[in-house]
Amino acid sequence: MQPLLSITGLQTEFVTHAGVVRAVDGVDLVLHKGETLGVVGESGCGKSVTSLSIIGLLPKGQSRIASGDIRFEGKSLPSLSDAEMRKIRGNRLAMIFQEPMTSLNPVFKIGHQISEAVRFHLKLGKKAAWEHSIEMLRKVGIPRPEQIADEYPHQLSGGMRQRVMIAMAMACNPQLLIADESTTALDVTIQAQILDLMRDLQKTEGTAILMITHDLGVVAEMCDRVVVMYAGQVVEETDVKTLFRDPKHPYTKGLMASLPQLAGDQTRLQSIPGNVPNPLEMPPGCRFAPRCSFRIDACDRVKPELLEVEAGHKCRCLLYEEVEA
Amino acid sequence: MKPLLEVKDLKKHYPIKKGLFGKQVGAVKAVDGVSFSIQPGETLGIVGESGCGKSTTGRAILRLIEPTAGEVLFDGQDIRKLPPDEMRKFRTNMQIVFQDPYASLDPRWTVQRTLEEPLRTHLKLSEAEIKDRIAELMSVVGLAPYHASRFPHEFSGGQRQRIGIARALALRPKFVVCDEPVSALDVSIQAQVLNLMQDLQSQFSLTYMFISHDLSVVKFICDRVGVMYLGRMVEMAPTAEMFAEPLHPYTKALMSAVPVPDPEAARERIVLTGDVPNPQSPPTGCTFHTRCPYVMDSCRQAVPEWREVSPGRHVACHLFEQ
Repeated sequence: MQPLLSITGLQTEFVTHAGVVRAVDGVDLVLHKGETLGVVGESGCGKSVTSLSIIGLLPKGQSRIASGDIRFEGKSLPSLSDAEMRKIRGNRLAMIFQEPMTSLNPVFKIGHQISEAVRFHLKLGKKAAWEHSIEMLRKVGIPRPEQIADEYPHQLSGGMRQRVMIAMAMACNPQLLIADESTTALDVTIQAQILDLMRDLQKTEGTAILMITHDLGVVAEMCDRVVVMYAGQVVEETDVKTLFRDPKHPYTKGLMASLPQLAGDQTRLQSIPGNVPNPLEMPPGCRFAPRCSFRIDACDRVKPELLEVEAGHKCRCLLYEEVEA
Repeated sequence: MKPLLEVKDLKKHYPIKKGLFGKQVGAVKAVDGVSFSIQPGETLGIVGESGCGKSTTGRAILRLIEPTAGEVLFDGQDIRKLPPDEMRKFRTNMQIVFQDPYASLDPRWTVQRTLEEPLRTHLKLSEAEIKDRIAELMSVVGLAPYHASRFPHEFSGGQRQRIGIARALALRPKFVVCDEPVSALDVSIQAQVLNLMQDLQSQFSLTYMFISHDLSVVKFICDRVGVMYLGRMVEMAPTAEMFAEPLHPYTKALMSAVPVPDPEAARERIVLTGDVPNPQSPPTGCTFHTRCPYVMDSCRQAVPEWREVSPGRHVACHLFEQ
């Protein structure tokens, strides 16, 4: 089966006054229809830049896709013109951002903002588009959708705004929904509502979700497969159960050990020493080597490859490679 | 044992004014009658969702926000009665670590200057003593001596929070309010800072009030936990008991809503409907009744009493009133 989205060797660069920063360095991803793929990692690991590269929203003039390909429904997205990309974005491919307040336009009514995309992509008239918007608001569980469509973003609570964002993203029935930290700004009880909603919509509409998050709890609940990123690279990839039961990469292990757990007793948290490396001065060998507790001499010299260490389980670590020390 | 801090019926109401003459037409009751005490050396956690009044409570205790009513007894002394001069001196006993280490440090000040300001304001120390104190502070929070001449933008988030902690500890306070100190940090860094805070607590026999929205962090670091909802405390209990068996329906829902980092865990989720009500016009009776799955008639009418249901466990809910 042809995957819905496949990314091969993606490299995304930012031009800064200090030099060229390669925020994403050789990422490969595959996402099938109806699947939920989680991308986890800490700030600066390149997970958001990956998503912006897919949807074509990288800041112009400061950044570029240096190499690699992103194929979505058989089309190569980086080679499309702006006009062609506009036909896909918001239509076949949609995104929910982290901060619903900054991603909604404060001066337009909710209904107007949802119907804008609907009129453009589905070629509906003004009235039909407005009704479609109300229908979408109802679908995402907003009470009194007729009245809410007539209100402005500031009149809604954070959870309601995020529902509006989801309604907007789902309005044209996309094949792929990118959720970039879409519940991070919300309180846990509201987050639980939104995650439930996304799961329901996925079940009824068959949408694939690319879930970008730093929260391993959200990953465990939502995703089928997970990709762990560190310093612009994929360091581990497997299905969600295997990842939590048997993490391979020392970074993934460290990440799991540093989580305070709701169940069980902990008197001390394991932490990963040090900080994420500066993207301008990446370590020459493994990028995680300076913080790694399993480091061997070769780690400082040899760049590890992302290899399949077990069936369906990839890991980028020399511990699982045959190297001459 | 005598408590270090006793808070009695603390209130902070913000007036809502309207019209040309600013007539008061109502009030937002950000904190509405909260009482608790903290023992020396203890860590009390305060959890709740945004807008529940947990940060306001923390700041009102330090008088960074002037409370509307209530008593704050520190070592038996009501600090709300202190005149400004004495209050300023008194602040050496109680300090705060803020959430956002980016916003709470002056970007134009070196770490040295940030750390020496409280020392110069409150203590008469010689230059050499100040230098020693700063070197000591930096080493206890895990920063290198050469960091002293650097500016906040040169540090990572975790390091900046270490500076914030060093500043709070500069005057050797007895009591520190930690207002979401790790919520802006990545998990691996969060673990470093939480471990550090634990070490410092035993090293300097500190008493913490730890404000957070993250239940797993609170469970890790706190001895007792209080849960707030719409300006009121709904439940307070020793951490182990609270997490083993939450009593208040809101606490139950809050705990079940936390995503568990285990894909094979069985989940029994209580999904609350709706949002937190508008604090300008909170619901009558129990403020949680609009979202509570166990709502009864009495909940809509009477405010539930804050009562001790077993030794050390308090809850405000009609279900526990006989």
